[in-house]
Amino acid sequence: MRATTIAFLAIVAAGCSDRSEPRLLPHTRLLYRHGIEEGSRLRPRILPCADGRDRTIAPSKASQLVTFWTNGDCATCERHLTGLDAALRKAPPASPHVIVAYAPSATQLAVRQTLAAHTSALVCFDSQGAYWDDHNLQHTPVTALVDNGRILYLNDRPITSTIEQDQLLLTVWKYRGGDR
Amino acid sequence: MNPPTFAFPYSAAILTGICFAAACSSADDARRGTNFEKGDGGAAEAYRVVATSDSLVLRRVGRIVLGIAPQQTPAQAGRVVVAGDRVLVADKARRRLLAFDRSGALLAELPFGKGPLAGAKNPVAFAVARDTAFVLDLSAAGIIALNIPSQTATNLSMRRRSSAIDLARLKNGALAVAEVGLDPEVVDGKATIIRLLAQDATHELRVCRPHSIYAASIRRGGIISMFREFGVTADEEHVFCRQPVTPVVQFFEANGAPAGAISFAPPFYQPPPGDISATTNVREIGRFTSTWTEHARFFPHGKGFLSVYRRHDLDRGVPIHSLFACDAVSVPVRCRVGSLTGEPFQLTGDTLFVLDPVGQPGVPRSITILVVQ
Repeated sequence: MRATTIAFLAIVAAGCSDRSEPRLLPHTRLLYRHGIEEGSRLRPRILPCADGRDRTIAPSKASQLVTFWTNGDCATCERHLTGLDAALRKAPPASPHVIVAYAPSATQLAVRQTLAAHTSALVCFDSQGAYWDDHNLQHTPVTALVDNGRILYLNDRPITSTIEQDQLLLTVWKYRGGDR
Repeated sequence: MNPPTFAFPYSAAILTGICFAAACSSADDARRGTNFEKGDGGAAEAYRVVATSDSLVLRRVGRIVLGIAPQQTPAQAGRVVVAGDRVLVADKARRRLLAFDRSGALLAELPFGKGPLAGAKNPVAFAVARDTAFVLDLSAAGIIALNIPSQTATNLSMRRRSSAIDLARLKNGALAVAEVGLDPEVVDGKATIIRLLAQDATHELRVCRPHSIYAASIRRGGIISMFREFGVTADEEHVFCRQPVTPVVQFFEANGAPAGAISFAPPFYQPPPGDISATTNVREIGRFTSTWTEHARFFPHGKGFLSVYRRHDLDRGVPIHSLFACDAVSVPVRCRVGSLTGEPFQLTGDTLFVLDPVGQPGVPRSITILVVQ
């Protein structure tokens, strides 16, 4: 089933790609304003992650799916994480998915514990809240598809329905088809 | 609980003229709190800082480890209540209500939004009487009365106006509900009100007037108006209304009649330095909450009270909890101070229950039991 989904998405994505410079992807109507928007640039930062290794967030010359999250997010916001996780399990995209959590030192265990209930994604810790300071990030969680530091696509919806999950996958895979 | 000697409601002038026999041994021993802003709603907000360095003695008498397997322990503990031989925990991350016995064994796991808790999407408070847990939901139209042994529920209707915040059960069986609601008589139609809800009826008895800092912040869309963790607690005779931005606690008779206000502040109390625009940027919120002490819990204790104050440690990202205990609610008064690493959530008699900080991954959450001496 998963192989079929991936094959289907690859065919659709290939048919839609134009092999041109990365462009903004079909817009998803956002529920909130977040301080970042499609077209915004994220500064690359190396952050420590829950697996003990460091990762570069928003790397240059690469794409990445980044979810910004805090432990104080509202109870209903979990549906964004669980829905995203369910979608990406169906057809893992080429762009790796990381969660960037605002998590000062004493909160990182609690953050890991909470996130483990919602998602299998890798969690990296922005202990100083640098991205929050850069962009006045609000209403997290919000997920961004970032290429070469530029946000191509944003999604803050619950992503619980199959339709929403497939739309997200199609968008991410479509981008992969047009990747350099 | 002794009634206060000064007038109610909202008579700041009387409060500011008082010099406490026990607490004001010199001119520096007591300072008068100043109003952040005046003239909107007339809420009681003058307070006296009690200068004391006496330490509150806490003796550890026990610990409850919540669950054995990782799946049994709360992933993100919300409201916790210890009642008799049971411990109830709202697990916010896994969206379920967990019931443990006092040894920490899991008795029941009830998912929010399903089965007997079908009406509970975002539970914010509990009260417990024998086998019944009353569950207050932020958005639900009523209070769910959950019989724990049978895991059956009935819905108590509630004429709710807005977001329900806290719940306490009075000795006479009535339930006191704090909600941030619309009150056309106060502050441009917005006020924090406390309602007393009898179990078989929905009559509103009394409102708790909002502090003027909070009221002014609502009008200007300020960040202070986001601090809505108002609380209700009850003892044998009274129901108490705590507001996050002030040490002043208003209290009422069980029938809802105003009974007075407690106006003692601890020496470490720091009011908000000012208001900024409301934001959901948690970094910004953390920066703001590191500049003042929030009145986080209030427990009646003997003839006095024990308050928990919270200040955010911006570097570590966790709150620092400080305690302020006084032996009376009016002069003469003797107060003591203390601090804790965990989060105190309940005082029953002299027993203080504290939710311990999150430990290593896979290690169950725990509650430390202390006796206040």
